[in-house]
Amino acid sequence: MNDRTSRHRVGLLLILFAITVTWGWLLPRLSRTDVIRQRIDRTDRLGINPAAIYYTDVFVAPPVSLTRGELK
Amino acid sequence: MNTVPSGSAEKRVGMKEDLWAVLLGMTLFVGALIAMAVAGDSLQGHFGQPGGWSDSPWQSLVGKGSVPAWQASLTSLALLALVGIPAIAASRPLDKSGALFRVVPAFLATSALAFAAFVMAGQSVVKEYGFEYVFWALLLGLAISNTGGTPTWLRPAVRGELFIKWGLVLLGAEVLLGKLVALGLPGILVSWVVTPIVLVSTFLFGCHVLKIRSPSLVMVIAADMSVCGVSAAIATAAACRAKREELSLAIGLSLSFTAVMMVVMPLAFRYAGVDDIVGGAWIGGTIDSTGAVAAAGAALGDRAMKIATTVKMIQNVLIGVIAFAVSVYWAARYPTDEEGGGESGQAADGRPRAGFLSEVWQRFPKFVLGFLAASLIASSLAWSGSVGESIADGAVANVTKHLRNWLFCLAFVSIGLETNVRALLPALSGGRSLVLYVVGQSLNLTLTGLMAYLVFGWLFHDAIQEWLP
Repeated sequence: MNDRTSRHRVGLLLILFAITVTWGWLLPRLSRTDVIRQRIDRTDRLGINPAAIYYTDVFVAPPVSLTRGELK
Repeated sequence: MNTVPSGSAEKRVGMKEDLWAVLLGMTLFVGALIAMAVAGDSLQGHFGQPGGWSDSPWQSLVGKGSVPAWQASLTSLALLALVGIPAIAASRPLDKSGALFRVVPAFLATSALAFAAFVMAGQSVVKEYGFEYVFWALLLGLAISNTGGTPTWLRPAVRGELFIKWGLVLLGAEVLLGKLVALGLPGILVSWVVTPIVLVSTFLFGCHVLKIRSPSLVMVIAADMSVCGVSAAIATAAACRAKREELSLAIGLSLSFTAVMMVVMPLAFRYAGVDDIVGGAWIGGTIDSTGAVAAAGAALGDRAMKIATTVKMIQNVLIGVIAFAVSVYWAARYPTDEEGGGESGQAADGRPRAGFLSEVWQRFPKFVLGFLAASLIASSLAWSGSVGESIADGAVANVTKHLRNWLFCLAFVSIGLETNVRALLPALSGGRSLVLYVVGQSLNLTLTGLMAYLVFGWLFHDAIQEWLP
Protein backbone atom coordinates (compact mmCIF):
# COMPACT_ATOMS: atom_id res chain seq x y z
CA MET A 1 0.00 0.00 0.00
CA ASN A 2 1.63 3.28 -1.01
CA ASP A 3 1.61 6.52 1.01
CA ARG A 4 -1.17 8.10 -1.00
CA THR A 5 -3.52 5.15 -0.61
CA SER A 6 -2.93 4.91 3.12
CA ARG A 7 -3.46 8.68 3.48
CA HIS A 8 -6.78 8.33 1.66
CA ARG A 9 -7.86 5.45 3.89
CA VAL A 10 -6.98 7.43 7.00
CA GLY A 11 -9.04 10.29 5.58
CA LEU A 12 -12.03 8.00 5.06
CA LEU A 13 -11.70 6.62 8.60
CA LEU A 14 -11.55 10.16 9.99
CA ILE A 15 -14.74 11.07 8.10
CA LEU A 16 -16.50 7.97 9.44
CA PHE A 17 -15.35 8.87 12.96
CA ALA A 18 -16.58 12.47 12.55
CA ILE A 19 -19.99 11.23 11.32
CA THR A 20 -20.30 8.83 14.28
CA VAL A 21 -19.41 11.49 16.85
CA THR A 22 -21.59 14.18 15.24
CA TRP A 23 -24.73 12.07 14.81
CA GLY A 24 -24.20 9.83 17.84
CA TRP A 25 -23.31 12.50 20.40
CA LEU A 26 -23.23 16.13 19.30
CA LEU A 27 -26.54 16.51 17.43
CA PRO A 28 -28.69 14.65 20.01
CA ARG A 29 -27.35 17.05 22.66
CA LEU A 30 -27.93 20.09 20.46
CA SER A 31 -31.52 19.05 19.81
CA ARG A 32 -32.26 19.30 23.54
CA THR A 33 -31.29 23.00 23.77
CA ASP A 34 -34.02 25.66 24.16
CA VAL A 35 -33.04 27.58 21.01
CA ILE A 36 -33.42 24.55 18.79
CA ARG A 37 -36.60 23.38 20.50
CA GLN A 38 -38.22 26.81 19.98
CA ARG A 39 -37.21 26.85 16.35
CA ILE A 40 -38.65 23.40 15.73
CA ASP A 41 -41.88 24.36 17.52
CA ARG A 42 -42.21 27.45 15.30
CA THR A 43 -41.89 25.60 12.01
CA ASP A 44 -44.30 22.94 13.31
CA ARG A 45 -46.81 25.63 14.25
CA LEU A 46 -46.57 27.30 10.82
CA GLY A 47 -46.91 23.97 9.06
CA ILE A 48 -43.62 24.39 7.20
CA ASN A 49 -41.90 21.18 6.24
CA PRO A 50 -38.23 21.97 6.91
CA ALA A 51 -37.30 19.00 4.76
CA ALA A 52 -38.46 21.02 1.77
CA ILE A 53 -36.50 24.17 2.53
CA TYR A 54 -33.60 23.64 0.19
CA TYR A 55 -33.89 20.47 -1.73
CA THR A 56 -37.39 19.31 -2.38
CA ASP A 57 -39.45 21.47 -4.60
CA VAL A 58 -42.71 19.61 -4.89
CA PHE A 59 -43.00 17.84 -1.55
CA VAL A 60 -45.27 20.55 -0.20
CA ALA A 61 -47.53 20.38 -3.23
CA PRO A 62 -51.18 20.03 -2.25
CA PRO A 63 -52.48 16.52 -2.88
CA VAL A 64 -54.66 15.75 -5.88
CA SER A 65 -57.84 15.91 -3.80
CA LEU A 66 -57.17 19.51 -2.74
CA THR A 67 -56.51 20.54 -6.31
CA ARG A 68 -59.72 18.94 -7.42
CA GLY A 69 -61.55 20.66 -4.59
CA GLU A 70 -60.14 23.98 -5.75
CA LEU A 71 -61.19 23.28 -9.31
CA LYS A 72 -64.74 22.70 -8.15
CA MET B 1 -24.03 12.78 -15.20
CA ASN B 2 -21.92 12.19 -18.24
CA THR B 3 -22.56 13.69 -21.59
CA VAL B 4 -23.47 11.23 -24.30
CA PRO B 5 -21.43 11.42 -27.49
CA SER B 6 -23.41 11.04 -30.67
CA GLY B 7 -22.84 8.02 -32.78
CA SER B 8 -20.85 6.19 -30.14
CA ALA B 9 -21.58 3.05 -28.20
CA GLU B 10 -22.13 5.27 -25.16
CA LYS B 11 -24.89 7.08 -27.02
CA ARG B 12 -26.70 3.79 -27.53
CA VAL B 13 -26.41 3.15 -23.80
CA GLY B 14 -27.80 6.63 -23.10
CA MET B 15 -30.80 5.96 -25.33
CA LYS B 16 -31.33 2.59 -23.73
CA GLU B 17 -31.16 4.25 -20.35
CA ASP B 18 -33.93 6.67 -21.34
CA LEU B 19 -36.16 3.87 -22.52
CA TRP B 20 -35.43 1.82 -19.41
CA ALA B 21 -36.24 4.86 -17.25
CA VAL B 22 -39.62 5.27 -18.98
CA LEU B 23 -40.36 1.56 -18.81
CA LEU B 24 -39.38 1.24 -15.14
CA GLY B 25 -41.08 4.49 -14.10
CA MET B 26 -44.32 3.73 -15.91
CA THR B 27 -44.34 0.12 -14.67
CA LEU B 28 -44.08 1.31 -11.08
CA PHE B 29 -46.63 4.10 -11.56
CA VAL B 30 -49.21 1.92 -13.30
CA GLY B 31 -48.51 -0.86 -10.78
CA ALA B 32 -49.09 1.61 -7.95
CA LEU B 33 -52.39 2.71 -9.51
CA ILE B 34 -53.55 -0.91 -9.85
CA ALA B 35 -52.42 -1.74 -6.31
CA MET B 36 -54.25 1.33 -5.02
CA ALA B 37 -57.40 0.35 -6.92
CA VAL B 38 -57.26 -3.17 -5.47
CA ALA B 39 -55.90 -2.62 -1.97
CA GLY B 40 -57.01 0.95 -1.31
CA ASP B 41 -55.87 2.62 1.87
CA SER B 42 -54.39 -0.59 3.23
CA LEU B 43 -51.28 0.33 1.18
CA GLN B 44 -50.66 3.24 3.50
CA GLY B 45 -47.33 3.08 5.34
CA HIS B 46 -45.95 0.06 3.47
CA PHE B 47 -43.50 2.21 1.49
CA GLY B 48 -41.27 4.84 3.02
CA GLN B 49 -37.87 5.90 4.27
CA PRO B 50 -36.18 6.04 7.67
CA GLY B 51 -38.06 8.57 9.80
CA GLY B 52 -37.07 11.50 11.97
CA TRP B 53 -35.19 11.13 15.24
CA SER B 54 -33.80 13.22 17.99
CA ASP B 55 -31.80 11.23 20.54
CA SER B 56 -30.91 7.94 18.94
CA PRO B 57 -30.59 6.91 15.27
CA TRP B 58 -32.54 3.74 16.15
CA GLN B 59 -35.66 5.90 16.49
CA SER B 60 -35.50 6.56 12.75
CA LEU B 61 -35.95 2.84 12.09
CA VAL B 62 -39.14 2.69 14.12
CA GLY B 63 -41.02 5.66 12.65
CA LYS B 64 -44.48 6.84 13.63
CA GLY B 65 -46.76 4.83 11.34
CA SER B 66 -48.38 1.42 11.81
CA VAL B 67 -45.60 -0.19 9.75
CA PRO B 68 -42.07 0.28 11.15
CA ALA B 69 -39.89 2.62 9.08
CA TRP B 70 -37.24 -0.06 8.57
CA GLN B 71 -39.83 -2.38 7.08
CA ALA B 72 -41.26 0.33 4.79
CA SER B 73 -37.72 1.19 3.69
CA LEU B 74 -36.83 -2.41 2.93
CA THR B 75 -40.09 -2.90 1.01
CA SER B 76 -39.33 0.17 -1.12
CA LEU B 77 -35.76 -0.91 -1.77
CA ALA B 78 -36.81 -4.49 -2.50
CA LEU B 79 -39.31 -3.30 -5.12
CA LEU B 80 -36.72 -1.02 -6.72
CA ALA B 81 -34.18 -3.87 -6.68
CA LEU B 82 -36.66 -6.33 -8.15
CA VAL B 83 -37.39 -4.22 -11.22
CA GLY B 84 -34.18 -2.18 -11.27
CA ILE B 85 -31.39 -4.75 -11.00
CA PRO B 86 -32.26 -6.60 -14.24
CA ALA B 87 -32.58 -3.22 -15.98
CA ILE B 88 -29.23 -2.03 -14.63
CA ALA B 89 -27.60 -5.24 -15.80
CA ALA B 90 -29.30 -5.14 -19.20
CA SER B 91 -28.75 -1.46 -19.95
CA ARG B 92 -24.97 -1.55 -19.70
CA PRO B 93 -23.77 -4.60 -21.55
CA LEU B 94 -20.77 -2.94 -23.20
CA ASP B 95 -18.06 -3.39 -20.59
CA LYS B 96 -19.56 -6.49 -19.01
CA SER B 97 -19.89 -4.51 -15.77
CA GLY B 98 -23.62 -4.99 -15.92
CA ALA B 99 -23.56 -8.74 -15.28
CA LEU B 100 -26.35 -9.60 -12.87
CA PHE B 101 -24.14 -11.19 -10.19
CA ARG B 102 -22.03 -8.02 -10.07
CA VAL B 103 -24.99 -5.67 -9.88
CA VAL B 104 -26.65 -7.33 -6.86
CA PRO B 105 -23.93 -6.66 -4.22
CA ALA B 106 -23.22 -3.24 -5.73
CA PHE B 107 -26.91 -2.27 -5.54
CA LEU B 108 -27.11 -3.50 -1.94
CA ALA B 109 -24.09 -1.39 -0.96
CA THR B 110 -25.39 1.72 -2.77
CA SER B 111 -28.76 1.22 -1.09
CA ALA B 112 -27.02 0.98 2.31
CA LEU B 113 -25.37 4.36 1.65
CA ALA B 114 -28.74 5.84 0.62
CA PHE B 115 -30.25 4.40 3.81
CA ALA B 116 -27.48 6.05 5.86
CA ALA B 117 -28.14 9.37 4.09
CA PHE B 118 -31.82 9.23 5.09
CA VAL B 119 -30.92 8.42 8.71
CA MET B 120 -28.43 11.32 8.81
CA ALA B 121 -31.02 13.69 7.34
CA GLY B 122 -33.68 12.55 9.81
CA GLN B 123 -31.94 13.97 12.90
CA SER B 124 -34.11 16.81 14.20
CA VAL B 125 -31.42 19.53 14.19
CA VAL B 126 -30.19 18.59 10.72
CA LYS B 127 -33.76 18.46 9.45
CA GLU B 128 -34.68 21.79 10.98
CA TYR B 129 -31.87 23.53 9.13
CA GLY B 130 -32.93 21.98 5.84
CA PHE B 131 -29.94 19.74 5.18
CA GLU B 132 -31.93 16.99 3.54
CA TYR B 133 -31.03 13.55 2.28
CA VAL B 134 -29.74 14.76 -1.09
CA PHE B 135 -26.94 16.66 0.62
CA TRP B 136 -25.87 13.71 2.78
CA ALA B 137 -26.15 11.24 -0.07
CA LEU B 138 -23.85 13.41 -2.17
CA LEU B 139 -21.47 13.91 0.75
CA LEU B 140 -21.24 10.19 1.56
CA GLY B 141 -20.51 9.40 -2.07
CA LEU B 142 -17.91 12.17 -2.27
CA ALA B 143 -16.28 11.03 0.97
CA ILE B 144 -15.73 7.57 -0.49
CA SER B 145 -14.70 8.58 -3.99
CA ASN B 146 -12.32 11.33 -2.87
CA THR B 147 -10.58 9.43 -0.09
CA GLY B 148 -10.30 5.68 -0.54
CA GLY B 149 -11.72 5.83 -4.06
CA THR B 150 -14.88 4.13 -5.29
CA PRO B 151 -14.25 0.37 -5.16
CA THR B 152 -14.49 -1.40 -8.51
CA TRP B 153 -17.11 -3.87 -7.24
CA LEU B 154 -19.42 -0.92 -6.38
CA ARG B 155 -19.32 0.61 -9.86
CA PRO B 156 -21.98 -1.55 -11.60
CA ALA B 157 -24.69 0.08 -9.44
CA VAL B 158 -23.27 3.60 -9.67
CA ARG B 159 -25.89 4.73 -12.19
CA GLY B 160 -26.75 8.32 -11.31
CA GLU B 161 -28.26 9.14 -14.67
CA LEU B 162 -30.58 6.11 -14.78
CA PHE B 163 -31.79 6.69 -11.21
CA ILE B 164 -32.47 10.39 -11.89
CA LYS B 165 -34.40 9.74 -15.10
CA TRP B 166 -36.35 6.94 -13.48
CA GLY B 167 -37.19 9.20 -10.53
CA LEU B 168 -38.21 12.03 -12.87
CA VAL B 169 -40.73 9.82 -14.65
CA LEU B 170 -42.30 9.15 -11.25
CA LEU B 171 -42.13 12.86 -10.44
CA GLY B 172 -44.38 13.46 -13.45
CA ALA B 173 -47.22 11.80 -11.54
CA GLU B 174 -46.95 14.53 -8.89
CA VAL B 175 -47.13 17.47 -11.28
CA LEU B 176 -50.77 17.94 -12.16
CA LEU B 177 -51.73 20.01 -15.15
CA GLY B 178 -55.03 20.92 -13.46
CA LYS B 179 -53.19 23.02 -10.90
CA LEU B 180 -52.62 25.64 -13.55
CA VAL B 181 -56.33 26.29 -13.74
CA ALA B 182 -56.90 26.00 -10.03
CA LEU B 183 -54.18 28.31 -8.82
CA GLY B 184 -55.23 31.33 -10.74
CA LEU B 185 -54.35 33.91 -13.34
CA PRO B 186 -52.29 36.28 -11.15
CA GLY B 187 -49.84 33.56 -10.22
CA ILE B 188 -49.61 32.43 -13.82
CA LEU B 189 -48.80 35.97 -14.95
CA VAL B 190 -45.97 36.31 -12.44
CA SER B 191 -44.53 32.80 -12.85
CA TRP B 192 -45.01 32.12 -16.51
CA VAL B 193 -44.14 35.47 -18.01
CA VAL B 194 -41.02 36.20 -16.01
CA THR B 195 -39.53 32.71 -15.75
CA PRO B 196 -38.99 32.03 -19.48
CA ILE B 197 -37.62 35.57 -20.00
CA VAL B 198 -35.12 35.13 -17.17
CA LEU B 199 -34.20 31.63 -18.32
CA VAL B 200 -33.48 32.68 -21.90
CA SER B 201 -31.76 35.97 -20.94
CA THR B 202 -29.50 34.22 -18.42
CA PHE B 203 -28.63 31.53 -20.94
CA LEU B 204 -27.73 34.12 -23.60
CA PHE B 205 -25.80 36.21 -21.09
CA GLY B 206 -23.76 33.21 -19.93
CA CYS B 207 -22.99 32.01 -23.44
CA HIS B 208 -22.41 35.32 -25.25
CA VAL B 209 -21.33 37.85 -22.63
CA LEU B 210 -19.56 35.74 -20.02
CA LYS B 211 -18.51 33.31 -22.75
CA ILE B 212 -18.76 30.26 -20.49
CA ARG B 213 -17.58 27.40 -22.66
CA SER B 214 -20.15 24.84 -21.60
CA PRO B 215 -23.71 25.77 -22.66
CA SER B 216 -25.07 22.86 -20.61
CA LEU B 217 -23.60 24.40 -17.43
CA VAL B 218 -25.16 27.75 -18.31
CA MET B 219 -28.54 26.13 -18.98
CA VAL B 220 -28.55 24.15 -15.73
CA ILE B 221 -27.68 27.24 -13.68
CA ALA B 222 -30.28 29.33 -15.56
CA ALA B 223 -33.04 26.74 -14.98
CA ASP B 224 -31.99 26.10 -11.41
CA MET B 225 -32.14 29.82 -10.62
CA SER B 226 -35.22 30.81 -12.63
CA VAL B 227 -37.56 27.84 -12.15
CA CYS B 228 -37.38 26.05 -8.84
CA GLY B 229 -33.96 24.98 -7.66
CA VAL B 230 -32.83 21.40 -7.40
CA SER B 231 -35.69 19.61 -9.18
CA ALA B 232 -35.41 21.96 -12.16
CA ALA B 233 -31.63 21.57 -12.18
CA ILE B 234 -31.94 17.79 -12.21
CA ALA B 235 -34.58 17.76 -14.93
CA THR B 236 -32.76 20.27 -17.12
CA ALA B 237 -29.37 18.64 -16.61
CA ALA B 238 -30.83 15.40 -17.87
CA ALA B 239 -32.50 17.19 -20.77
CA CYS B 240 -29.32 18.93 -21.94
CA ARG B 241 -26.96 16.13 -20.93
CA ALA B 242 -24.95 18.26 -18.51
CA LYS B 243 -21.96 16.76 -16.77
CA ARG B 244 -22.41 15.61 -13.19
CA GLU B 245 -19.93 18.24 -11.95
CA GLU B 246 -22.04 20.93 -13.61
CA LEU B 247 -25.18 19.68 -11.87
CA SER B 248 -23.37 19.57 -8.51
CA LEU B 249 -22.12 23.13 -9.00
CA ALA B 250 -25.57 24.46 -9.98
CA ILE B 251 -27.12 22.80 -6.93
CA GLY B 252 -24.42 24.20 -4.67
CA LEU B 253 -25.06 27.73 -5.96
CA SER B 254 -28.81 27.33 -5.52
CA LEU B 255 -28.48 26.08 -1.94
CA SER B 256 -26.16 28.90 -0.94
CA PHE B 257 -28.29 31.69 -2.43
CA THR B 258 -31.54 30.14 -1.21
CA ALA B 259 -30.21 30.20 2.36
CA VAL B 260 -29.32 33.90 2.05
CA MET B 261 -32.42 35.06 0.17
CA MET B 262 -34.77 33.20 2.49
CA VAL B 263 -33.56 35.36 5.40
CA VAL B 264 -32.78 38.62 3.63
CA MET B 265 -35.87 39.08 1.43
CA PRO B 266 -38.55 39.21 4.16
CA LEU B 267 -36.32 41.45 6.30
CA ALA B 268 -35.73 43.83 3.38
CA PHE B 269 -39.46 43.90 2.51
CA ARG B 270 -40.42 44.69 6.08
CA TYR B 271 -37.80 47.42 6.25
CA ALA B 272 -38.92 48.94 2.93
CA GLY B 273 -42.61 48.62 3.80
CA VAL B 274 -43.47 46.41 0.82
CA ASP B 275 -47.13 45.28 0.82
CA ASP B 276 -47.41 41.68 2.05
CA ILE B 277 -49.44 40.61 -1.01
CA VAL B 278 -46.77 41.95 -3.38
CA GLY B 279 -43.95 40.69 -1.13
CA GLY B 280 -45.44 37.19 -1.09
CA ALA B 281 -45.66 37.07 -4.88
CA TRP B 282 -42.15 38.47 -5.17
CA ILE B 283 -40.75 35.82 -2.84
CA GLY B 284 -42.67 33.05 -4.59
CA GLY B 285 -41.31 34.04 -7.98
CA THR B 286 -37.67 34.36 -6.99
CA ILE B 287 -36.56 32.04 -4.19
CA ASP B 288 -35.59 28.70 -5.68
CA SER B 289 -37.38 26.00 -3.68
CA THR B 290 -40.89 25.70 -2.30
CA GLY B 291 -40.00 25.05 1.32
CA ALA B 292 -37.76 28.10 1.47
CA VAL B 293 -40.52 30.14 -0.20
CA ALA B 294 -42.98 29.02 2.49
CA ALA B 295 -40.51 29.87 5.26
CA ALA B 296 -39.67 33.31 3.81
CA GLY B 297 -43.35 34.05 3.12
CA ALA B 298 -44.23 33.06 6.68
CA ALA B 299 -41.72 35.61 7.95
CA LEU B 300 -43.83 38.27 6.17
CA GLY B 301 -47.14 36.91 7.44
CA ASP B 302 -49.75 34.25 6.88
CA ARG B 303 -51.25 35.86 3.77
CA ALA B 304 -47.83 36.40 2.21
CA MET B 305 -47.00 32.75 2.83
CA LYS B 306 -50.14 31.55 1.03
CA ILE B 307 -49.50 33.81 -1.95
CA ALA B 308 -45.79 32.97 -2.09
CA THR B 309 -46.46 29.24 -2.02
CA THR B 310 -49.20 29.53 -4.64
CA VAL B 311 -46.94 31.43 -7.04
CA LYS B 312 -44.16 28.91 -6.44
CA MET B 313 -46.46 25.97 -7.09
CA ILE B 314 -47.43 27.40 -10.44
CA GLN B 315 -43.77 27.91 -11.25
CA ASN B 316 -43.05 24.29 -10.24
CA VAL B 317 -45.40 23.09 -12.95
CA LEU B 318 -42.94 24.62 -15.42
CA ILE B 319 -40.36 21.92 -14.62
CA GLY B 320 -41.81 19.57 -17.19
CA VAL B 321 -42.42 22.27 -19.80
CA ILE B 322 -38.89 23.67 -19.43
CA ALA B 323 -37.28 20.23 -19.49
CA PHE B 324 -39.26 19.39 -22.60
CA ALA B 325 -38.36 22.67 -24.34
CA VAL B 326 -34.69 22.38 -23.39
CA SER B 327 -34.49 18.80 -24.62
CA VAL B 328 -36.02 19.74 -27.97
CA TYR B 329 -33.74 22.79 -28.28
CA TRP B 330 -30.66 20.77 -27.35
CA ALA B 331 -31.47 18.02 -29.76
CA ALA B 332 -31.85 20.58 -32.55
CA ARG B 333 -29.03 22.94 -31.58
CA TYR B 334 -26.33 20.52 -30.41
CA PRO B 335 -26.99 17.35 -32.33
CA THR B 336 -23.52 15.92 -32.65
CA ASP B 337 -21.02 17.24 -30.14
CA GLU B 338 -20.69 15.87 -26.65
CA GLU B 339 -20.00 19.18 -24.90
CA GLY B 340 -23.12 20.88 -26.18
CA GLY B 341 -20.96 23.43 -27.86
CA GLY B 342 -21.41 22.46 -31.51
CA GLU B 343 -23.27 24.26 -34.24
CA SER B 344 -26.90 23.79 -35.13
CA GLY B 345 -28.28 21.02 -37.25
CA GLN B 346 -26.63 22.30 -40.38
CA ALA B 347 -23.91 21.00 -42.58
CA ALA B 348 -20.66 22.92 -42.98
CA ASP B 349 -22.08 24.80 -46.00
CA GLY B 350 -25.06 26.01 -43.99
CA ARG B 351 -27.68 23.72 -45.57
CA PRO B 352 -29.84 21.59 -43.31
CA ARG B 353 -28.18 18.29 -42.60
CA ALA B 354 -29.81 15.22 -44.14
CA GLY B 355 -32.02 13.37 -41.67
CA PHE B 356 -32.01 16.33 -39.31
CA LEU B 357 -35.41 15.54 -37.80
CA SER B 358 -34.47 11.94 -37.23
CA GLU B 359 -31.27 13.12 -35.57
CA VAL B 360 -33.34 15.44 -33.35
CA TRP B 361 -35.59 12.53 -32.44
CA GLN B 362 -32.60 10.30 -31.83
CA ARG B 363 -31.04 12.87 -29.49
CA PHE B 364 -34.30 13.66 -27.76
CA PRO B 365 -34.24 12.36 -24.18
CA LYS B 366 -37.15 9.94 -24.21
CA PHE B 367 -37.57 9.99 -20.44
CA VAL B 368 -39.27 13.40 -20.78
CA LEU B 369 -42.09 11.60 -22.61
CA GLY B 370 -42.43 9.29 -19.60
CA PHE B 371 -42.60 12.34 -17.32
CA LEU B 372 -45.35 13.89 -19.45
CA ALA B 373 -47.25 10.60 -19.78
CA ALA B 374 -47.25 10.11 -15.99
CA SER B 375 -48.39 13.71 -15.53
CA LEU B 376 -51.20 13.28 -18.08
CA ILE B 377 -52.41 10.02 -16.53
CA ALA B 378 -52.41 11.48 -13.01
CA SER B 379 -54.13 14.69 -14.21
CA SER B 380 -56.79 12.75 -16.15
CA LEU B 381 -57.53 10.56 -13.13
CA ALA B 382 -57.77 13.63 -10.92
CA TRP B 383 -60.40 15.04 -13.29
CA SER B 384 -62.30 11.82 -13.87
CA GLY B 385 -64.22 11.67 -10.62
CA SER B 386 -63.82 10.86 -6.97
CA VAL B 387 -62.74 7.25 -7.52
CA GLY B 388 -60.03 8.13 -10.03
CA GLU B 389 -58.95 11.03 -7.88
CA SER B 390 -58.50 8.91 -4.75
CA ILE B 391 -56.62 6.23 -6.73
CA ALA B 392 -54.19 8.79 -8.22
CA ASP B 393 -53.80 10.59 -4.91
CA GLY B 394 -53.21 7.34 -3.02
CA ALA B 395 -50.79 5.89 -5.57
CA VAL B 396 -48.62 9.01 -5.40
CA ALA B 397 -48.83 9.58 -1.64
CA ASN B 398 -48.47 5.94 -0.59
CA VAL B 399 -46.13 4.52 -3.20
CA THR B 400 -44.48 6.55 -5.96
CA LYS B 401 -43.44 9.55 -3.86
CA HIS B 402 -41.43 7.26 -1.56
CA LEU B 403 -39.91 5.35 -4.45
CA ARG B 404 -38.92 8.64 -6.09
CA ASN B 405 -37.23 9.76 -2.86
CA TRP B 406 -35.17 6.57 -2.84
CA LEU B 407 -34.28 6.96 -6.51
CA PHE B 408 -33.10 10.55 -6.06
CA CYS B 409 -31.13 9.46 -3.00
CA LEU B 410 -29.52 6.59 -4.94
CA ALA B 411 -28.82 9.03 -7.77
CA PHE B 412 -26.99 11.45 -5.52
CA VAL B 413 -25.01 8.70 -3.82
CA SER B 414 -23.98 7.64 -7.34
CA ILE B 415 -23.13 11.20 -8.38
CA GLY B 416 -20.96 11.55 -5.27
CA LEU B 417 -19.26 8.23 -6.00
CA GLU B 418 -18.54 9.38 -9.56
CA THR B 419 -17.38 12.89 -8.75
CA ASN B 420 -13.85 14.04 -8.25
CA VAL B 421 -13.91 17.34 -6.35
CA ARG B 422 -10.97 18.61 -8.34
CA ALA B 423 -13.11 18.29 -11.47
CA LEU B 424 -15.48 20.92 -10.03
CA LEU B 425 -12.84 23.63 -10.38
CA PRO B 426 -13.01 23.91 -14.21
CA ALA B 427 -16.83 24.01 -13.93
CA LEU B 428 -16.51 27.16 -11.85
CA SER B 429 -15.07 28.76 -15.02
CA GLY B 430 -12.92 31.16 -13.02
CA GLY B 431 -15.88 32.42 -10.97
CA ARG B 432 -18.03 33.15 -14.03
CA SER B 433 -20.68 30.64 -12.88
CA LEU B 434 -21.09 32.69 -9.72
CA VAL B 435 -21.36 35.90 -11.75
CA LEU B 436 -23.92 34.21 -13.99
CA TYR B 437 -26.07 33.19 -11.01
CA VAL B 438 -25.87 36.66 -9.41
CA VAL B 439 -26.68 38.51 -12.65
CA GLY B 440 -29.50 36.09 -13.53
CA GLN B 441 -30.98 36.26 -10.04
CA SER B 442 -30.76 40.07 -10.08
CA LEU B 443 -32.73 40.13 -13.34
CA ASN B 444 -35.18 37.63 -11.84
CA LEU B 445 -35.63 39.83 -8.74
CA THR B 446 -36.19 42.96 -10.84
CA LEU B 447 -38.65 41.49 -13.36
CA THR B 448 -40.56 39.47 -10.76
CA GLY B 449 -40.77 42.55 -8.54
CA LEU B 450 -42.18 44.63 -11.40
CA MET B 451 -44.67 41.94 -12.35
CA ALA B 452 -45.67 41.38 -8.70
CA TYR B 453 -46.40 45.10 -8.33
CA LEU B 454 -48.33 45.17 -11.59
CA VAL B 455 -50.41 42.03 -11.05
CA PHE B 456 -50.67 41.59 -7.28
CA GLY B 457 -50.30 45.24 -6.27
CA TRP B 458 -52.59 46.74 -8.91
CA LEU B 459 -54.55 44.55 -11.37
CA PHE B 460 -55.74 41.84 -8.93
CA HIS B 461 -55.05 43.56 -5.61
CA ASP B 462 -58.68 44.05 -4.58
CA ALA B 463 -59.71 40.58 -5.67
CA ILE B 464 -56.86 39.03 -3.70
CA GLN B 465 -57.73 41.06 -0.60
CA GLU B 466 -61.25 39.74 -0.88
CA TRP B 467 -59.95 36.20 -1.39
CA LEU B 468 -57.47 36.44 1.49
CA PRO B 469 -58.75 39.08 3.92
